[in-house]
Amino acid sequence: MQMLSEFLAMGGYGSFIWAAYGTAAIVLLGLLYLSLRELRATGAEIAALEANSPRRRRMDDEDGDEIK
Amino acid sequence: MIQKYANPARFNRLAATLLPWFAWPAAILIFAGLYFALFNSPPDYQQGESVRIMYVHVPSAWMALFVYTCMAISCAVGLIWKHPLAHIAAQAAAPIGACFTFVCLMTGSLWGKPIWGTWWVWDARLTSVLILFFLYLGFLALQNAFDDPARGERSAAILALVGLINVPIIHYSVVWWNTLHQPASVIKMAGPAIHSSMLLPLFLMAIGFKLYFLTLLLLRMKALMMARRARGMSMAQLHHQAAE
Amino acid sequence: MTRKQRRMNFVMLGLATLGTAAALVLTALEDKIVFFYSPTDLVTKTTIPKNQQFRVGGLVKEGTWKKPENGLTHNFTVTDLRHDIAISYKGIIPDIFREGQGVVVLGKVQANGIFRADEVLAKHDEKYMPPEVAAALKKSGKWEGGKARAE
Repeated sequence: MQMLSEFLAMGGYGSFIWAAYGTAAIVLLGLLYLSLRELRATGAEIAALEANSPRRRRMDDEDGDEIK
Repeated sequence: MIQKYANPARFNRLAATLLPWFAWPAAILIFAGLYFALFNSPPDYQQGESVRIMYVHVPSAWMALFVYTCMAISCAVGLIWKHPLAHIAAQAAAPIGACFTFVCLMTGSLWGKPIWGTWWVWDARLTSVLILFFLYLGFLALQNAFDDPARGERSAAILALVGLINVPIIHYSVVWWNTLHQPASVIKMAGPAIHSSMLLPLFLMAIGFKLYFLTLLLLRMKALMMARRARGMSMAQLHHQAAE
Repeated sequence: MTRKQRRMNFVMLGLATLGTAAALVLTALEDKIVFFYSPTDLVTKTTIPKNQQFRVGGLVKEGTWKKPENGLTHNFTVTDLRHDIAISYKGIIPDIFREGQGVVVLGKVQANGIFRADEVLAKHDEKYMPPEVAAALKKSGKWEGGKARAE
């Protein structure tokens, strides 16, 4: 227990060190979360659009259109 | 040769192959880096335990510069060769670079307070990194400032290239001017001025961050390409409806 | 010349122009972007705005730091190994402040020649090492910290 609190105190710099690592974790993992959410949302949007136009050829195949 | 990866399907397949090769090593290296950074590295003779902030601060600073350089090169390729993937890559990289720059500024501030005695000073190094952060934000804002996405893309690309001049300024700011920030410890002519027991966590984190960037870049590029496709599809549908 | 080449030349020319412009501006601004002056600058440079606050940087001279006994006023001398300046500061000093350490102080020169500081910042060098290594270096006489970089 004492070892843990000593570790957390980091020689008196604990609040600065943990705030630094915490900020880094929140920002960098937050960006991952947002990127994955965006990916899922656009995936869902495309699925909805495809469902909307059954006549349109699926573009996932080999010779899909080049994007402009 | 590269042109064929502008095909979304091909890009998706390449991304799917590469992703696990980036994501898993990134996670492993960062966890190993964190272990050494927090548990298994010595305190500094001057700064004590506070030196542990270095292991997130310095890799973030390197990434801030690295991502910006990649982004600017990508923009140049986009402007000159009109390669569609180039602009997408730049667009995908900008928020990642902005996040790394933000982390660099925040951790630097949290390090500066106990060691220097201040959260912030307007010296050449700190100010030029703050400008880098605003360049990222400006790039993101400019991109969406036009109705025509191609115009936004072009304007943002020009801004990115103009801002590239800031990258050497940041690096040499501590050499050219008197600054509160100390000179470079690792990337210098005489070899690193950091003890090897401290270089290990630093390099683990630095490589981990680089792979994490590549992971995020692929994910974000994929999302951007899908968003473009969705935009194209809904335009086509609107067109179709109007024709009927 | 193809359009691709023209765009390439345009981008390259733009970057070259920009680089030259930036280099010129930075050279012109060299003296303006000074974060602190050295004690020698105070003697040799006439452009220092001595009636306003400015920063002085250097090393805390060995044997000059008088720790406060009851009040909070620290007295010490900052040196660049050529010239010295006496500093008086009332307040809390950073953790790594010690003799031989780099510092940057903000304040004004008073009539009695003493620099009255309103802020004292510690400047550390680019060396990082465990305490044992530093102790071993000092013991073997290979230590060069602090002394080498006085500017």
